[in-house]
Amino acid sequence: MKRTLSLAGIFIFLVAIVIPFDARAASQLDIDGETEAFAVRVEYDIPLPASIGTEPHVIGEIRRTFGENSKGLSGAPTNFTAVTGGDVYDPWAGVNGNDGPLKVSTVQTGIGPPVDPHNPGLPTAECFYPGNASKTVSFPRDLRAETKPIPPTSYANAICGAGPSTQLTAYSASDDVPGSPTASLGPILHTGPLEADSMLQPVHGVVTSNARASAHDVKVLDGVIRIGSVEAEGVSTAEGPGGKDSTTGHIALTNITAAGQTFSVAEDEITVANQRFPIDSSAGQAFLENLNNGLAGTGCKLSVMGPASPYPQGFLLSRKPPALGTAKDGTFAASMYGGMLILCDLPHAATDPTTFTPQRVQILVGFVYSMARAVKDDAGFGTGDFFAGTKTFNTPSRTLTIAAPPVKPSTVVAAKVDTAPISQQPQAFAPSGRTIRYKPLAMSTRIALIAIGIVLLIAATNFASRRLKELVGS
Amino acid sequence: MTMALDAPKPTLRERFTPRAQGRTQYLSGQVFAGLINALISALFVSAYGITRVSSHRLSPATAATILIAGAAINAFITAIVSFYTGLSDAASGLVTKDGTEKPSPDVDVLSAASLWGRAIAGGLGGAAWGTGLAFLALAALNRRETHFLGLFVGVLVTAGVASITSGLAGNALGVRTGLDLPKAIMPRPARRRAWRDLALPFAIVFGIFAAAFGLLLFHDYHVGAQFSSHVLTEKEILADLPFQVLLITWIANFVLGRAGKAEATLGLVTFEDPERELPNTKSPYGIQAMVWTAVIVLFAGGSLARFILPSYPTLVEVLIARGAFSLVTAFVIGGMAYMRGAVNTTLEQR
Repeated sequence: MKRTLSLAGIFIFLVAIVIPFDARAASQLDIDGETEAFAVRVEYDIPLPASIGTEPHVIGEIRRTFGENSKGLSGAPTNFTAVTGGDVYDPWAGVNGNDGPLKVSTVQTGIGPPVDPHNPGLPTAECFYPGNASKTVSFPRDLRAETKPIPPTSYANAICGAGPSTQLTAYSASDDVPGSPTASLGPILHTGPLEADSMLQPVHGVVTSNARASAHDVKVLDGVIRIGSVEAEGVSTAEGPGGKDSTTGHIALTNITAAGQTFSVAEDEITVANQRFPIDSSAGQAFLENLNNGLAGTGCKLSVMGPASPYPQGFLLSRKPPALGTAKDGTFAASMYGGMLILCDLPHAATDPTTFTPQRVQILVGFVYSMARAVKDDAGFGTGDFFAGTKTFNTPSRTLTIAAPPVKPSTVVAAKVDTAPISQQPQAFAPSGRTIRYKPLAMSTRIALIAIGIVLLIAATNFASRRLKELVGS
Repeated sequence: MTMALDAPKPTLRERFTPRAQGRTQYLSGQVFAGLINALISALFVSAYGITRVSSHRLSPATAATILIAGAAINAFITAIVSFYTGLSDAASGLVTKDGTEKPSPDVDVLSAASLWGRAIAGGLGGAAWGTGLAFLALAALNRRETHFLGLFVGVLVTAGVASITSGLAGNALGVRTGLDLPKAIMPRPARRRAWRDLALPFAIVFGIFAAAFGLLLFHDYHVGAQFSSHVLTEKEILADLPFQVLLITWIANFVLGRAGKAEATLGLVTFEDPERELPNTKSPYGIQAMVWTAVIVLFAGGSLARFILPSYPTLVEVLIARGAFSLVTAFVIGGMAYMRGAVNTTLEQR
């Protein structure tokens, strides 16, 4: 009797442990949501690809499968890709030769004080649920005790919670506020206020992923190209099997002034002098070609990106290439849009004060990506499976039926440039090559080092042994 | 047999109480202690060196510099510390002759020139040993960076071996001098011995080492960057002043306090003004004298440093400030420690 009671007690205890982990205990859908948005990203691509600032930047994610989790990062700027400030971090360099491709090496640029990418005072906030649910960083207030009284010029806030939900906000008064991590961008890019936010959560059973980024008063190379305002916004929703899904996004660039022309780009159309024509029309192509011809003397050229679905993924996103489009059964929707890509040869006035001497800069103005997914997943292990006989735990992954993108196809204007030397071609989305700067010592140098080392060791040992023999004895 | 069983078991305190040992046994014990000290020192130096660089990896040149400097500094300091440890223990009867010792040559090994000359020679020997191994390490690293374990092994082999060797030589010389005092060593006036012969060179050495350690600590701080963290500020560089004072007080009291005690025990200290220098109390200088001196140095020196230094000093200003503070502290505390040891021992002998 006693043994039976013990066994029953153990059984109840085990069941009590297992029940909370039952995959199908809750009759909810498995859900996913992802967002990313930024207003401007500035990168040097020659002599090596290195980001010097993405601002403002929001990256969010929610997920519910066997449990809920959400995470997010917001920054103005983020240190998420390569760098910010005086040190350029080259993630592909194998400087040391012995620590593989993950080693991050640095190149001192000499532009302003270097900024540690792990600097806790940088206006970048991360959250994770369950875990570090909320964080707010104000710059420069949160740098040190002495900077507490200084009014903030930028801040980032990230809140992750149950639901799951992620809410992100990033703000900066300007990209080149003196003393800020991206102050060195001043000669290359000046902006007015920058804002970005993102919200991901299920709303009345519909997974909703929303992201937005904006910038005002953007000036490239002290006014060679001016953009009055940048608005990037994207929303994706998914209700689940049998329901609805949708995705939409747009990037509006208004009051662009370049080569004496003032125009706007929105909804895949160019508006100039009260005339509107599609970007990929012959009129649109001709307008952009004329514009670039007019800019030739400045060393800059620009191209309009449009929907980003056909782009090869370089270091544009902080994740692997995503699926884009909508599913017919209401379970998935995603879209990605890029704004305008500006390439400029850098004048000596902007680079001579540095030791890095970048030759070209590429500026991506406006980017947004959003994704929502809601599926009923019968994979996984449930308590009932104890009694259900044989079951394959590793069920094949689902294959989504992706419908055509919900926006009309658009030509990437920049793709036309292919006959120029590689140093002049757009590389915004191209994978970056690996640079190796490790140079081993010459064999003669190593032999000399070993010889001198051995001579010194023999001399020191001889000196010490004589002294010890004299003082200590045998 | 019964007697042995009935004998009381020695307590922990009794087991660790210093007791008289033969010379060979004493030196063996000192080598063992030196080995423990070398292990701890190597752990400390390599951990500090690694934490002060980005990615916790040291460039070959920096690693070589640490190996060379570590060996030289350790050998230099140990030469002085071990000499006075041996001299003090021999003078107080903790080391006895066991027939293995050699007679002392008739040389004044206590003169300032001889004392500090031996320390410099030890430091140079350590530097040569460290440089030899550093060159071998450079050839092996072949321009690759090194990590904690590599640095720890390197520091242990260079600084550890150098300090143990230098320490053994210093201990042996100190013991020989204490057991067989050369006739060439004459008594010296206490004040001159305390402040000029010992405290001043001791303070200069400490000042240089404090500046070098400041370089290790603050070389990667941002200079003049108001809107950044990890910035060189007056507050940041003076944050560890109490720790510095505590460390210097302890080391100065340990080394120069022992020096005063040993030299007074051997009758090598004279007092120019005994009426004033030797009052009619048994131990006029208690430990409180050192504590209050340290407190005064901390508050007066700290306030002066804060007054002189700008809010955002340069690295050179930081090294000068920290070096000067350590120099003054070591000088004041070191001189006091020697006088305290010499005066108290002389009074106890009366």
